Amino acid sequence: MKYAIIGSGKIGAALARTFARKNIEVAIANSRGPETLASLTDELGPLVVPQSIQDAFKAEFIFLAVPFPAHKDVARQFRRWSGKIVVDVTNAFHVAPEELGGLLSSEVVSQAFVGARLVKAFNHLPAAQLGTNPSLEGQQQAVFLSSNDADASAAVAAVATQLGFAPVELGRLDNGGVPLHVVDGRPGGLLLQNLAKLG
Amino acid sequence: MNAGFIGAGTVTGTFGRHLITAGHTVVVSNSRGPETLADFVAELGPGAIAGTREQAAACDVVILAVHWVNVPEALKGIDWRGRILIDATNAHMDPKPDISLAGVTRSRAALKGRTSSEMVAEMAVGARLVKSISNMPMAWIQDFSPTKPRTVIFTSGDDAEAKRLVVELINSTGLVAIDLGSLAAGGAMHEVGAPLSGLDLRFVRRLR
Repeated sequence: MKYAIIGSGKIGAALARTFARKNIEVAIANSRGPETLASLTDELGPLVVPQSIQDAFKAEFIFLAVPFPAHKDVARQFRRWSGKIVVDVTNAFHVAPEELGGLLSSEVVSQAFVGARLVKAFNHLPAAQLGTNPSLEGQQQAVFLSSNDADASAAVAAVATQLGFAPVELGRLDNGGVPLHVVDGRPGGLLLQNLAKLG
Repeated sequence: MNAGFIGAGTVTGTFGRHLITAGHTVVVSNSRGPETLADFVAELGPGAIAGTREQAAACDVVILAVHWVNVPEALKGIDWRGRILIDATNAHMDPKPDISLAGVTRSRAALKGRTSSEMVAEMAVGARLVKSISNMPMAWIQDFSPTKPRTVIFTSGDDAEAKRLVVELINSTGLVAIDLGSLAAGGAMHEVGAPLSGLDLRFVRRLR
């Protein structure tokens, strides 16, 4: 499968819903096993496929939709994430700034996912807002992307477009990506802002 | 609030009108003197008066709204210490801004990796500088009605209190200010040719 979501909480489910809405197949996995995902896949239909994390790992794009502290548990299941595009959907809300060691949360995630091409994206909205704006002619919900890998950023931007969003690429994590992060316990300027892009 | 504009072009005509509609007053100045601005302020309506650059600079908030090539002249001779200055300029290097991709690329190269607002900060020594009202063509915010689209106006600056006041001023017009952080990091995101410049973003909802 090309796309997989790891994490089946509110954000994972909201992401899965955006794929289902556009008739794009997506795997979804959690730490408790695919059998715990029956009700979600019943609701979202056959294009949302429950998998084990082992199987989800085979995807080209892996959306990390777990609470930030759980990223380590996911990362350590595989020694290398080489060749994978990992979309970091986590936010370091309620994480003590010193736990991040002066790094942005996505930089911490990037270190844990050895070899992955990390793109920070789809994290700026709570689940209830993601992909749920009334559809209006000529405008789409904006999603912001940041990555140190420009090609990976462009690839995820293309996925966002397919899912019906308007991608806005911000450049490197420690530069344009800063307003997409919780820094020193405070949400960056673009976090929790539901914006629509025209044209 | 009383807002002073330096420059009497499209930005002043547009944002000035948003401010007046929201109940603020404005002082408009240019390089040629207040007597040349009678028609301009008449067009803006009651709430606008023409003044000298010094009178504009004496307002609660000052808005620098001239072409980039005229910035040094516009800032010269005023003691900026402690004044809240909104940098509404875009650093187009030519006297007549070339907004084509090639022109923007050339203008960005001329900044040599610095942000244009940091350069303005150096010219307006001591000003409490906030970059804003510059991330889109003014043609996109020509609806002055109470039901105007809630267009996003990006903001950056190093003086948190000045920035808060500017954010309040913008929000009072019905447009929506979003803070991108410091002048260096945030400013780099919404200045000419940057990722958040030239995007027509509309505010839907805020969740904090």
